[in-house]
Amino acid sequence: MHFANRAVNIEGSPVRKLVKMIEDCMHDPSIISFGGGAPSLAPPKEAIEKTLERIKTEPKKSSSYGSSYGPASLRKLIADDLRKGGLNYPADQIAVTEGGQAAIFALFGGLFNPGDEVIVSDPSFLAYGEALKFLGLKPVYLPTSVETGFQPDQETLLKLVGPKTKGMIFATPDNPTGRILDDTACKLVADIAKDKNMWILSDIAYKEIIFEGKYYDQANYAPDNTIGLGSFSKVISLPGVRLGYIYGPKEAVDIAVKVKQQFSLCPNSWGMIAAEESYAYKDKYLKEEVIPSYKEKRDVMAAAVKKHLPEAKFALPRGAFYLFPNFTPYFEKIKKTDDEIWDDVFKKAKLALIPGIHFGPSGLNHLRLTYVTETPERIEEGVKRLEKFFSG
Amino acid sequence: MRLSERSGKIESFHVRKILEMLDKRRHDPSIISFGGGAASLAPPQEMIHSLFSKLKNNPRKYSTYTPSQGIYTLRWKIAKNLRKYGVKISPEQVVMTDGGTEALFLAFSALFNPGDHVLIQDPGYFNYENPLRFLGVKAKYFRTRMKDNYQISEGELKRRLTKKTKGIVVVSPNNPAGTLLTKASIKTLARFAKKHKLWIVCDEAYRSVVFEGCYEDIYRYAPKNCVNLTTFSKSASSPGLRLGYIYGPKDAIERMVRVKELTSLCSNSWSQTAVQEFFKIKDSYKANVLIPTYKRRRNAMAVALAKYLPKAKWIMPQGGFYIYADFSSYRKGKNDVSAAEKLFKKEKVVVVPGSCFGPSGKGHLRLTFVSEEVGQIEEGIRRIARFFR
Repeated sequence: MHFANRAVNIEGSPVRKLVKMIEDCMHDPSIISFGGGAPSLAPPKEAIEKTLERIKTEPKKSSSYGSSYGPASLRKLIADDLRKGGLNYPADQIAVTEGGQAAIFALFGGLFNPGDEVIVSDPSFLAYGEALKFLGLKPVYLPTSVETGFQPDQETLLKLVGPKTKGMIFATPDNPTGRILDDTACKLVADIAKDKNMWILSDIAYKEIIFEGKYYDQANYAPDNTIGLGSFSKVISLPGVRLGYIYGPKEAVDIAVKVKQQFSLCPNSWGMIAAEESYAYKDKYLKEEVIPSYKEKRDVMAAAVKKHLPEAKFALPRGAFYLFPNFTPYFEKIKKTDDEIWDDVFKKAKLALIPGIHFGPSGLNHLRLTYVTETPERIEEGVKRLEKFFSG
Repeated sequence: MRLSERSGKIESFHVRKILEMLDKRRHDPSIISFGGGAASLAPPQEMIHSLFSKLKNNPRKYSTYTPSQGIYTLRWKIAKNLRKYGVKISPEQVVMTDGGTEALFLAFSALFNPGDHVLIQDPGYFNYENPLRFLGVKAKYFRTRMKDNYQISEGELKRRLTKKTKGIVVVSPNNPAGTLLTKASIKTLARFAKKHKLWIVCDEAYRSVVFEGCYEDIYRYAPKNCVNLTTFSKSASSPGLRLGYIYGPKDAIERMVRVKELTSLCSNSWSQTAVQEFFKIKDSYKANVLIPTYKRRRNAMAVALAKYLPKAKWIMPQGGFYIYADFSSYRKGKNDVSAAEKLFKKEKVVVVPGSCFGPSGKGHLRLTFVSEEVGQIEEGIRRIARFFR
C-alpha cells in the first residue's frame, strides 16, 4: 500500500534508539544512563495528594472534556506565575498545550507556510528540525560554540536571514548546551525579529532549572513577535502527564490552538488538575528538592569529566539537565562516525547517552551527558567508563 | 504578524457554538443538553483506585514519559481483546493516541499526500474534513441514506472514485445516525478497497456502545487496507483522559509512530496506567452500567419522539450516543442551523444541526440521549415539539 511522503521522510528519531537503550537500563542495572531527558525526582508529593483527592471527590467532572485552551483556572495560575517574572499576559493570551512537543508542532503549523525558513540555534533541542521538515519548512542552522558560551553571534545570524526567513527558535535554558540567552542575545534576537518582521519562538521548558546566572525572558524584549513555550515536564517532574503552555500575541495563540485541535481536542483533565495543584508547592519544591539535587549531580559530573577526560571542552551548564562536552581529540583517535561511537559506547562501556550530532551539525564530536538521572557515585563511575572507552 | 495559509483552511466548526451553549448549561440547570458527545457516567472506580495506589507507591515511575507507541503491556491487552472480534494483530500493530482526534491526524498524515482525494461518509463525524484540509488532502463526500439504513452502496463509491482517490473514511457505529455497518456493507467496502488499492480508515469510537446486534470489525476482511481507531472516551466514560488507539498493518503503524513523535511525543502516562486496569473490569462495566443506563435513555428519547414529534423521520440507533432525525416535514425544521439556534434561545435545548455531519444533513438534528436523565429527556423532546408546532 501507499504512504504519504511526509511520513516516509521523517528520519527515525534518535530518541527511539535511546528509549530502547533506556529500557535496557531498567532490566540491567549495570548499564549507566546519561541518556534520557526525564527528571529523576518524583513530582511534589502534596500536589499529587491534592490531585488524587480532587479526582476522588468529583470523578465525573474531573474526567470530562474541556476547552481546547485549558480551563480558565489553570490559565490564571500560569498568568500569575508569568507576572512574577515581569510578564503581563491576560488569560486569553495563554493556552494550555499537550506538552512542549504539541506546542512546537502547533506553532510551526500555525505560523509558517511550506517553503518558509526558520532559524534554529545549533546545537539545540533535536525535535525542532524534524517537525519543521514534516510541515514543509526549512530549518536553517545558526552555529554556536562553546568558545562563545553558545550565545548567538550577530554577524553569523544576520547572514542567515533571507527573504524566506520567517522565524527563529531558541531554547533557554538550552537542551543540550545548558546555555541561558543573555541580555545582549535577547536584544539582538528581538531587534532582528522586529526589523525583519519575524516570529521568535522561545522554548522555556527548563525555565526554572537554573543553578546560577540570570534568566531573561525573550517576551520582555519583543512582545509582539515572541511566543513563549513552557512545560510542566521538567519543572514539577511530571513529563508523563504531557502538559505545557504557550503565551504570546493573541492571534498567534489562537492560531496555534486551532492547529492543535486537529490532533488533540483538549489537554488531559487529570494532568491539568495536577498542574493547578502544583503552583502552591512549586517554589518550595524547586528550592528544597530540585535545584540542590540536580546541582550536586551537575558538579559531580563536571568534576569527573575534568579529571578523567581533561581534553574535553565544555562550559559549565547554568541550567537544564545536561553536560555537552566537545570530545574532538578523543573522537579523532577512534576514526569512526559519531553514531558508530554511540553504539560502541553502549555495547562496550554499558553507557546510554546521545551523540551531539543529533542536536545539529555543530554537535559533531560532542556527546550529551544527562547528569540528573544517576546517583553521584554512578555518575563518577560512568565518566570513568567513558575514559576507559576512549583510551581503547 | 503573518500566520500560515494552511491554518486559514481550518474552518471553525458550528461545534464551537455548541460548546459555548453547553458551557452556559453549567450555570443554568434549566437548559437541557441534547448537544454534547461526552460520556455522562463517571469512569469506573477501579481505574481511579488503581492509578491512586500506583501513584502512591511510585509516583516517579508512573509520571514519566512512556514509549511513543505506548506502554507495551497495554498494547498487548488491546491486541488480545481484539481477538474476540476475529482480529489477529500483535502489540506492534497498535499505537496509543491522545484520543480519537490524534488517531485521525496520525492516520491521515501517514497515509495521504497533498492533492490526494479521500472519500468520507455523509452523514459522518464532523471532524474529518478539517485535518484533511490542513494536510492539503481533498475530502469528497459519498452518500449513505436513511432508507438504506445508512449502509454503503458500491455504485455510490464508484461515482465518487477518481484517479486521485487514496482512501475511504467510515464510522461505525455511525455518528450521528447510530447505525452499524452490516456484514454486507463491510464486504462491499473491503472488496472495493482491495480492488482500487485504497486505505479504509474506520472510526469505531463507539464500538463498545452497541445496544442490539454485534459489532462487526471490518479489519479482518481487509487487514492490509484497514487502519481502525477508537477511544476510551466513550467505553470507559473518561473523555478527559484523552486516550485512544489505532491498529493496522505494521508498516502503517510504524509511520504513525514517527508522526506521533512530532505531535505529542507520547500519550499521557496516568491515563495509560488507569486504562490498563480498565481491561480487567471492562465487560462487567459495559454489561451492568454503561449499556443499561444508555439504553434506558435511548428508549426514553425514542418513545418521546414518536409521541410528540410523529412527523420526524429517524431510525432507532443500534449504537452510539445519538438519535439523528429528519425534521424537514416541519416548517421550522427545514433550516437546521437556524432551528438549532432558535431552539436554544426560545426553548433552552441544545441540539446539533445536521449540516455539521455532511451535505445531506440539511433539515436534520442530532439529539444526544446520554447526557440527561429520563425525565429531562422527555421534557426536552416536549420543548422541541412545542417549538416545531
